[in-house]
Amino acid sequence: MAVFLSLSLLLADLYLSPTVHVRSFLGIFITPVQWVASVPSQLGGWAEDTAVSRVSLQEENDRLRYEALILKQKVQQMVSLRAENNRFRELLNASEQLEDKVLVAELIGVDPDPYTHQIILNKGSEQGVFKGQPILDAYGLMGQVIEVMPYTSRVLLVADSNHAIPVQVNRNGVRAIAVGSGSLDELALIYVPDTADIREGDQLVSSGLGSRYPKGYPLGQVTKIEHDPGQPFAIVSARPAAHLDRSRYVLLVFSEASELPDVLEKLKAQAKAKNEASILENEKRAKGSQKSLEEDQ
Amino acid sequence: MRAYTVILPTFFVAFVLAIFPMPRMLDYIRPEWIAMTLIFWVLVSPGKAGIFLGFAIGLLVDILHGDLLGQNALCLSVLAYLCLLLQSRMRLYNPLQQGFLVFVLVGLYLLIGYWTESILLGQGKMALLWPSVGSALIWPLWYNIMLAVRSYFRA
Repeated sequence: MAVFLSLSLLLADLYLSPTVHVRSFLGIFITPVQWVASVPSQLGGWAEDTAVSRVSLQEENDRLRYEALILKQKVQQMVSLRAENNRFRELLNASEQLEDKVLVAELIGVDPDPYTHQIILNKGSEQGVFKGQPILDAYGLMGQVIEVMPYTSRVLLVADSNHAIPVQVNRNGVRAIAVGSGSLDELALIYVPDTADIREGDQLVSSGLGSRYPKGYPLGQVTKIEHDPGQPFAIVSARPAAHLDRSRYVLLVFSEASELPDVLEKLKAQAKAKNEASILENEKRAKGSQKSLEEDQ
Repeated sequence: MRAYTVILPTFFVAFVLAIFPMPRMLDYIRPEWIAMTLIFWVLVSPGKAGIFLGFAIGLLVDILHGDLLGQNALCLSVLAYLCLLLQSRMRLYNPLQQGFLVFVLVGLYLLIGYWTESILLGQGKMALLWPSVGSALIWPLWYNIMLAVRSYFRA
């Protein structure tokens, strides 16, 4: 009986979508387990924060102030550059680039299975997290949300062997697909022709083509290229830019690209408004010409 | 009913142990705490813990590990069934001998999980041996701790 039930559940989970609700409901019971399991590391972090000497705090403070100054200077440049960029994009009739909104989340668990690379975050559907949402840390792309529970969510890291992401080389825009290798410090680029212009040290950024990851976030750096005459494609490996095994705070990105339907609606509305305006204008013109015709007569 | 106020918290502890962060090397032999806890309760009170407890716990394990819904429910119900068959014999053994049986049972439990994964998803993690060894090694300790807990709360 139980075997039969679980078999039917298995098939249901494979082929039907409503099990998502069952999963997120059962997730409520699992959340306290995840919280408790993360307590020691959180305590460790807290102890580290409280039990520091004044000198080292001061040093850190100085360093952070220095960093903030440099970042501020960069931001000043950014503002004008962004405005300029948007003007150019307008000239090209391309849509304006919007700033992505982010939500900071804390890592509360790592999947114990040594054969996958998944992490648990302390934000869930109650905070607006959705399936497929991209995750960043301070250095680059980390992965995407694959399961949302009410107060936690599960993230698949880019280094997992089940993960792939469309990328392009920052230097010249050559496109490729980066798949995880199963080890945390390596990614592989697949289907790269032997003649493609990719060099060691090239920066890889997300190309946004899969319409899941936003465009232009750093993914990693090419570390090794092999040309094997026996293989149809070049063997390219890269190192992830994100600190996949160290970052405790991550950013959940709410980008326009991942809310594509909304954008489409907006574009449609704009086009409609434009159309109506031009129709009105045409009518006005027609009336004007009629008047002038009558005057002529 | 009273017994469940002890059984369920022990499962909570097992759940926490199952996802507790450990060094990467130890992860490979991480004992199957939840399966061991189920084996224990089926052994000591087969009237209260059985196939359906295994099923219910299994559903939660599926969410915990992010597996297909029902996979661990299937494995744990089969495990509970096997334990029910074996329990009258297994109770006579000392914890060390039980360890050997636990090795086999946990191995079977992992094997069924591997089968369902590879049939339904076309991929599975062939990691049967090391977690079973870990479980068998830790079993005498876990068994005694659980016995103490059980007698303390008179469940």
